[in-house]
Amino acid sequence: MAGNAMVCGFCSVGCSLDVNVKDGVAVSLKPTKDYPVNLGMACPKGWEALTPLRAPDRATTPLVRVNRGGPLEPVDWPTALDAMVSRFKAVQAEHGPEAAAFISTGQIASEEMALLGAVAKFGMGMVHGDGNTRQCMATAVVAYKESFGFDAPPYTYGDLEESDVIVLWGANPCIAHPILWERICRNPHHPEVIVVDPRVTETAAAATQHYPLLPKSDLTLLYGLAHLLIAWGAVDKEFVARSTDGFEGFAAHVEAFTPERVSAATGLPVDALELMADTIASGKRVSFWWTMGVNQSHEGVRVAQAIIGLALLTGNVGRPGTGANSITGQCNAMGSRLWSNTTNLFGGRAFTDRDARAEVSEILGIEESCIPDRMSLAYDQIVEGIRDGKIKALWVIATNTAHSWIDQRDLVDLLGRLDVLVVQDLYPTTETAQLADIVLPAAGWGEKEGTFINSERRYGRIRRVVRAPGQALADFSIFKLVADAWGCGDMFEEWSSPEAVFGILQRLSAGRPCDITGIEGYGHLDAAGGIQWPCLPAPGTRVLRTAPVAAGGGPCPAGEPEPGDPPTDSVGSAPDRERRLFEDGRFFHPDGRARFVWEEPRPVAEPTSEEFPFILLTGRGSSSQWHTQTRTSKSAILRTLYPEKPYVEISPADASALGVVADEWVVLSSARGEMEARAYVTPTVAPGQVFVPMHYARTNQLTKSSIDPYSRQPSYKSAAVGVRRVAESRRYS
Amino acid sequence: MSSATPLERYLAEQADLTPVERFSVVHDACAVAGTGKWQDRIPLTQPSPGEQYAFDVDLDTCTGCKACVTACHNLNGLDEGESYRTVGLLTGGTPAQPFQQTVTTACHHCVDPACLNGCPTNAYEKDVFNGIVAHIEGRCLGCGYCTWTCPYEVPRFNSARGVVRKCDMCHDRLAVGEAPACVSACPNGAIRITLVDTAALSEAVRGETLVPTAPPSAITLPTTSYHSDWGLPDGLRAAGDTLGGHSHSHNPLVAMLVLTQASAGALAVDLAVGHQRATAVTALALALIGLTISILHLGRPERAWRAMAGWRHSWLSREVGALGLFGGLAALAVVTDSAFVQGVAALAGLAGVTCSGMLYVVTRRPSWRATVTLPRFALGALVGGAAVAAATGGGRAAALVLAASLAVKLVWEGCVVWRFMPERPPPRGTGPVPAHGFARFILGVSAVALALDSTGGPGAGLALVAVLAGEVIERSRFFTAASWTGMPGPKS
Repeated sequence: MAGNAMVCGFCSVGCSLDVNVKDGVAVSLKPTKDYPVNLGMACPKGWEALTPLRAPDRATTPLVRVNRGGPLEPVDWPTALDAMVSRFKAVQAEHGPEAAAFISTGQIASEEMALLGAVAKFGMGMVHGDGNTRQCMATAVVAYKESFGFDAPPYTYGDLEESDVIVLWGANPCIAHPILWERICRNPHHPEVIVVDPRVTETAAAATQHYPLLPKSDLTLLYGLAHLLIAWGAVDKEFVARSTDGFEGFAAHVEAFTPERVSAATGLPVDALELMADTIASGKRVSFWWTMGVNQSHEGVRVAQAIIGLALLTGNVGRPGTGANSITGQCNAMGSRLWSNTTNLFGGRAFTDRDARAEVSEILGIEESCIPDRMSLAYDQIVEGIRDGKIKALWVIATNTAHSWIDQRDLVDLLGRLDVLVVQDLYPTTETAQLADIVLPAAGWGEKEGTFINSERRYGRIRRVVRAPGQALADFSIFKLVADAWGCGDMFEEWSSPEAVFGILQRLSAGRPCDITGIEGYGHLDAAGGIQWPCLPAPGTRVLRTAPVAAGGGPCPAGEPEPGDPPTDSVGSAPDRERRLFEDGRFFHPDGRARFVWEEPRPVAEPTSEEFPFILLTGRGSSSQWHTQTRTSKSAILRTLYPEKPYVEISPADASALGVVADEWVVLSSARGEMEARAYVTPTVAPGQVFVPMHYARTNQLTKSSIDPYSRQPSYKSAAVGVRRVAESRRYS
Repeated sequence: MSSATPLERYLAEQADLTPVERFSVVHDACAVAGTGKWQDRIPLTQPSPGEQYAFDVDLDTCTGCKACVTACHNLNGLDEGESYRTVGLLTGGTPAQPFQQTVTTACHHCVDPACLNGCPTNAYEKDVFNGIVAHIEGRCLGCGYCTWTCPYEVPRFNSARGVVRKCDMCHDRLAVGEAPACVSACPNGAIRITLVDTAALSEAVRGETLVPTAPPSAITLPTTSYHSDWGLPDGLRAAGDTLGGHSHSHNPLVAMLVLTQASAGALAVDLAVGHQRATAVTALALALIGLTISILHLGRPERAWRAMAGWRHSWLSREVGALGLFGGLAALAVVTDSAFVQGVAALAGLAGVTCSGMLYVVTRRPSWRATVTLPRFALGALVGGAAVAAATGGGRAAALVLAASLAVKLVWEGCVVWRFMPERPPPRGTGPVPAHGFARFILGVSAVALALDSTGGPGAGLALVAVLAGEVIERSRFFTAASWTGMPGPKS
C-alpha cells in the first residue's frame, strides 16, 4: 500500500484506492493493484469516490433553525456549538442525563467513533447511543458473540478462492460486494456456488445452484439441511466433540425438520433440499457467507446461528476455504462494533461488567464513575424512547435516519417531537438534516484521517487528500470542539489526533481477541497493505512469523520480506496477508468451545392479507447506489447506471392478473404508507412477492417495524403490501 | 500557532493535506508494455493483415457491477455523466427457470461501419492496421446523423461540445501494450481484446445478432464477440424495452423537411397548374427558411461547409448538395422568371427530397423503411406544394390537386403511420399517439374541405396553414416513433 493509497469509504469490502494528486490535492483515483483485498479492481462507487465531495450542496457552515418550521440559517461554529450544548444541557437538567442520546454510524473512522463514544458517554453523561450498524450488522454481532464467544468474523477473503463449495445465503455480492464476487471468480477449484435467495438475483443467475426459498423460511430450511446432514452421517464427529458444545440438543431439535415439512415451509422440492445437503456434505472446504437476507429478519440471530451450526457440524471452520462468514455492510461497521462505545464498552467489553469498567477506567485515566454501568438502548428503543418522552435530545452523525429507518412516517413524526435534533453530515440536504434544529458541517471520506476495519477484520488507512469546503470539519475535530464547549475537553487531552487515538485503541485491545498491540502505527498499516486483527507484538523482534496466537489469530504481517523468504509476487494468498481465526479449533468462550444455538422458527410479524396480498422485499438496487443515496446521487455517471424513478419488480403472472403492463406507474400500499413506482415486470421475482430497492426515498414508508428480539435489528425484507394501478392519465407519465 | 484557538487549529489542519506521493509512480511504471497486470487480457501481437482488434465478452462472468462504465469515464477523463460503455440487461426464461443476463457494450468497431458510411464530413476513420474505428472530433459538425446510422446507437451527441463522441478502444493504451480502460477494470475479466480474421468474421456473422434483441449483424459486421458456455434461453427481452422513454422529436429537422418538401412541390405544381410568380417567390422563401433552420440545428454550424465532403458514401452529403442546388436554382428561377430554370429547380428539389428520404432509409430502422419513408416525403411534397400553389393564386386546379393528394395521404397515413392506438403504452418505437393523431386528422380533413370549397379566397390561406400544421405533427411523429434498435438497454 503506497503512500497515496487509502481504503474506500462506501462498503465493508475495504478496497484500496490510489489517489492521483495534482498540486497536493487529489484529482482522480484508481484501484490499488497490489492490495490484498481488491487486487486492482473497484466497483463503480469506488471509481467515483471523490465525486460526491465536490457536490454543490455540501454543508459549508454550521446551520441553526431558530424557529421550528423556519429555515436553517448559517451561523459560526461557536454559535452552533453553544446552541447545541446549552440545549442538550437543558434537556439533561430537566429530564435527566439519559434524555440525551446519539445515533452514530458505520461511515466514520474508528478513531472518530471512539472519541464520540467517549465524549458522549464519559464526558456528556449520555447513556444511550447506537449506530446505523444496528440496521445492518447487529444480528451477526449477537450471533457471533453467543456462538463463538466474541464478535469475530473468522474468515479472510482468500477463503473465497480456496472453497470447493460456496454457500451465499441472503447475499447478492455481484451487486452489493462486486469485489468479493471477483474473488469467487478467481477461485481455481471450480466451486459449486449455492445461492439461497427468494429472487433470481444477479448472483443467483451466475451461481451453479439457486434455491428460491419462500421469504423468511430460512430457519426452517437450515434446520432441514442439518436434519439431512445428521441423518446421512455427514457430521465431523471429531471436530464437534473437540471444539463445540450443544450438538446433541441441536440434533434433537432438528430431528423434527423432516424434508417434507421443510419442503412445505420453504416451497422447495424435497429433491432440491437433498441436492443442496449433498453438495454441502460432499464439499471438502465449504464456506457459508451471509448478508442482509439473514441479518434483516425477525429471527435473524437464530438464522445466522443455524448457518454457524451447519459449519460447525460439518467441521467447516478454521480451515482454508471454510467458515460461517458474515459479510459486513458499511466501510467501518466493524470499527463500530469494536470501538463505538455504544452497545459494547470499548473493545467488545460489557458496560455491565464492573471489572471491565475498572479496566477501561485505568487504561484511559477516566474516573470509573463516568462510565455508564448500564446497557445502552438500541436504535429502535431510542426511537421508542422519543415516543415515551424519555429521549428529548438526539445527535445524529453521518446517517440518514429519516430515509433509512423502518416505518418512515412514524419515525419522522417522532423526530419532530424532540426538543432538539442535531445532525452532523456532509450535506444539509439529507432527509434527516432537513428536520434538524442544528446542522454541523462535516468533512467526508478523503478529507480526514483515520482507519477503517473491513469485513475480514483488516485495518486500513483513510487520508486527508482533498480540502473540505468552507468551515466543514473532520468529525474528529467536531467531537473535540463539542467536548470543549461542554466543558469536558480536559478529559480527552490525550485524544489529540486520530493517530494518538489509534494508540489508545491499541491499549484498549491488549489481551482481548481483537488485540492490535502489534501494529506499529499508521505507517505499518501502509507498508503491510492493511493488517487484520488480532495482531500481537513479537517479544523482542519486530516481525512475528511463527508464534502461535490464541484462538487462531495468526502472526502479524511483515512490513517487508525477510531475507530468504520465498518471493510473494502473488497478492492475495500470501499467508501473512490473509489470516483466518480458529485454526486451532479453539473459540473465545472460556472453555474454548463454540456453541450450537437453536430455537423454534417463528411466524413473521405481518402475514399477507386480502388487502395487502404481496410480500414486499427490499434491498440493494444496483452496484452504483449506496444506501440513502446522499453521496452516490451526486455523481452524474453513477446516476446513469440505475433507474432515476422508483420501480417495483413484479412477476409477469401477478402483473397480468392486476392488468399492469410493463413501465406503467402503480401504487404500492401497506398499512403504514404508500409510494408510487414504475412496474418492472420480470420473472426474476416470484409470484406473490414484489421487490423495491431501498434507495428510493419512500420505500421505508411501506416497511414494517418488526425487530429481532436478540439483535434489535429491523426486518426490512418482510412487509405485506398491495399493488394497484394509478389513474389512467398518469399511468405512463 | 500556540495562541490559536482550537477551532482555528482544526480549520487550519483541515486545509493541510496528508503528504502523498506525487503520482502513482510505482503503478505507472508497471503499466509499461509487458509488465502490466492485465497482459493476459490483450493479444500478444499486433494484428496481421486481414486481422483487427475486437472486444470479446464472456457473458458468464459479466454480472452487472458496471465498473467498466465508470472506469471508461474516469480513465478517459470524459465529461460529466459521459461514458463510452454501457451495460444493458436481458431478462426472460420461464417461470420455472427465470433468467437474467447483463450485457456490457461499447463500440463494436465494425468491419463495415455505418457511422463512417453515413458521416457527411468524413469524421470517422477505420484504421487499416488494427481496424479500430476512430472519430475525429475536429471534423465533426455535430449533425448527429451517425447516432442514427449506427444500429447500436454507439456514437453519442455531446451537447456541451457540439460534437459526437465514441469509444476508440483506448488505442493509445493498446499501442503501448496496455489494456483498454474497461478491459483492465473488469473485476471478473469478462472483457478482453482479441484478434479476429475480418473476412471469416464477415461471413460468420451474417444472419446472426450479437445477442438477443440486438440488430442484425449483417448491417455493419460488428466485430465484438459475446459468448456463454451456459447458453441463453429463447425469448429474452431487453429490460430497456420496458422501462424507457420515447425517441426525441427533432423539431428543426421536422421544419426543414416540411418546408423544403413543400417548396420543391410548389415549384412543380406551379408549373403544372399554370405559373404564378407569387408561388415561386413563396416557395423560395420556404426553402431558405428550411435550409437555414437545418444549418442552425447543427452542434457546430460553423463547420457546415464541410457537409458535402462525404458525398460518395453519405446520403446526408447528397441531401445537402441537392437541396443546396435546389435553393440556388429556385432563387435563379425567381430572378429570371424562367419556366425552364424553375423546372430544373423543381427536379433538383425532388432529388433533394429523395435524398432526404434515403438518408433515413439507409439507417435500416424498421420505422424508417423505404415503403414508409419515401411515399411520406413524396406525398408531403405534393400536398405541401399544392397547398402553397392554391394559396398563392394557383386557383381551382391547385385546390383540387391539394384535396386529392391530401385525401390520399390521410388514408395512407391512417393505414401505415397512425395505426397504433392502444390503451397500453405502445411498444417502444411506436411513440405516443392519441391526442396528436386526432389533431393531425382534424387539420387534414379541414384542409381537404377548405380546398374543395375554395374559390381562391382566404380559405386557401387557411388550408395552407392547416396543411403545414398537420404535416409538422405527422413529421414529428416520424421521429418520435423511430424504432430503437440498439443493444439491450439498461433498466433505467
